[in-house]
Amino acid sequence: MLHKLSSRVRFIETMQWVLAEVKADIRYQATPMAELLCKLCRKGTPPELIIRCEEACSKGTPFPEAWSTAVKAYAKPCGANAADSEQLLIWGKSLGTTDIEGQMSCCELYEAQLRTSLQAARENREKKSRMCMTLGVSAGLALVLVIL
Amino acid sequence: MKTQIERAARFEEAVKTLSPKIRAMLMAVPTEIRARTQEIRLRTNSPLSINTGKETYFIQNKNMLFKTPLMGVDCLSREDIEECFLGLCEYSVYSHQEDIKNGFITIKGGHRAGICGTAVTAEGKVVGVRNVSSINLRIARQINGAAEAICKEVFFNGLSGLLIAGAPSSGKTTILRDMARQLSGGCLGEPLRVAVVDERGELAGVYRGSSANNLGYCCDILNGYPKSEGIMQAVRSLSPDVILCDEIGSKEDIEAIEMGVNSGVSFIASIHAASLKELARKIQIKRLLETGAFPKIVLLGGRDNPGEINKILTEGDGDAQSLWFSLNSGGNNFDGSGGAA
Repeated sequence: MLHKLSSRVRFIETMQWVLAEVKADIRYQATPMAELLCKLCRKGTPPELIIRCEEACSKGTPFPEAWSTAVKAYAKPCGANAADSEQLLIWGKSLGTTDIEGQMSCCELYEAQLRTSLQAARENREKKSRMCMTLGVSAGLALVLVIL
Repeated sequence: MKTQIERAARFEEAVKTLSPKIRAMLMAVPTEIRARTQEIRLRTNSPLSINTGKETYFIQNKNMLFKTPLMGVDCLSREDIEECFLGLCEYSVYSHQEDIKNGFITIKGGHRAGICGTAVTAEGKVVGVRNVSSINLRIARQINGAAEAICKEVFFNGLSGLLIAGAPSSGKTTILRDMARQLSGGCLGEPLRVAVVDERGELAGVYRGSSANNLGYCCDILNGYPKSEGIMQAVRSLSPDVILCDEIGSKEDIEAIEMGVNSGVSFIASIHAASLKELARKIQIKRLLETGAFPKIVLLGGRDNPGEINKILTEGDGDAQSLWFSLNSGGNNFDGSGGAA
C-alpha cells in the first residue's frame, strides 16, 4: 500500500515538471502539441502515458484521441488514482484548443489542482506510513507477549 | 502520368490533416480528379466540394460527384468543420494564432487553408476567429518548369526586377516557387543567391524547419517573417542577389523594397491584379513602380489558364508608358491598348 502511495506522489511530482515544461513551451515557443510531447520525451523521463501519447501522435493519431487513450490505459499503472485520471482527461481536452492566453489559464487551473493533489497525497502517505509503523510495532509487541 | 501521381500525392498530403470522415470522402474521389483539384471547400450545412479551377464537384450520396448539389444530402455539420479546423491547426490552435488572425493556416507541404467564421475583435482589430463556418483548403503545387517561359522571355538580358500580376489562382505562387528554384539552380548561368521571404509559408512550405518544396541549393528562406521585416533582414545579413516575395502591397513592403533597391538587390514579387486596368487602379502601384524595383511586369492569364503569360510590360514600352500615364493621372483612364487613354 505504501508503495502505491509513494508512486502516486512521484507521479504527481513528475506531472508538475511536465506541466511546467508544457506551459513554458506554449508561452515562449508555441510548439504544436505532437512536437512538444516529442521534446518532453527527449528532455527527461516523463510518465509512461506521455511517452505512449507521443508515440501515437507520431503515428498520426489526432492528439485528443491519443491523449485520452493513453490516460485511460496508462495513468493507473503510473500511480494516478481515479481523480488524477479525471483531471488529466479534462486538461487534455483543453490542450491545443485555444490561443496562448487560454492555454495558460487551463495550465494554471491544472497546476492548482496538482498542488492540492500533491499535498493530499503526501499527507496521506505520511498518515498511512505512521499507521503502518504503529500497526507493525503493535503486532510485534503482541507477538512477543504471546511467545512469552 | 508521373505528374498526375505527384499531384494526387499532394492532394493526399493536404487532406491528411482533415478529420477521418472528411478524409475518407475525399480519398474516394477518382485519382484523375484529385490530381486536378485546386481547392477543397468545407462549409457548415453545405456539402463538401472540390474545385479544379474549371469545374466544381459536390461530394454527396455515398461519395459520388455531382456538378449541381443535391438539396440537404450529406451536408457538413458544425462539428465536422470544428474537427477539421483543429486538425489543420495540428490540435494546437495557439501555434497558429497569428495566422488565424489573418484568416488562414499554412499546413505541412505549404497548403493553405483559408478560414471563415465570426471575428473576435478588440479595439477595432481582429484578434481571433470563433465559430469557424467554412474552410477553403488550397492545394499547393510545385510544378518544375512553371517559370521557364517567363525566365526565357524576361531574363534574356540577365536578371532584372519583375512584378508578376495575376488574378487569384492564376499561378503566381507556383511561378515564384519555380523561379526561386531556377535562379538558385543557375538558370541564368551562375547560381544566384536567392532569399525568399515566405510570410505565409506558401512558397517553401517549411514544416518543422525543413522545406517541403525544392527551392534550390542557393536559397535562403525567411519563413513567417512579415515581408517588410524579412526583406530588411535579408538585405542586412544574407547579401542576396535577388529577393522573392508573394503578394506585396503595403506601405511597409514598399519602404523595405526601396531600401533593398538602394542596396543593389533585385526583387521578384507578385501582386493581385486580374488585368492591367485593375493594376493601374491600385493605389500602391505607383509608389511601387517609383522605387525602380520592377522594370518589368508580367500579367498572367486568369484561373482558367494558370501560369500562362498574358502580357509582358517592359519599362519604356507602349503599354508600360500607358500604365505610367494612367497612374500619374489617377489610375482611372488606362485602356491597355498601348497608348494613353
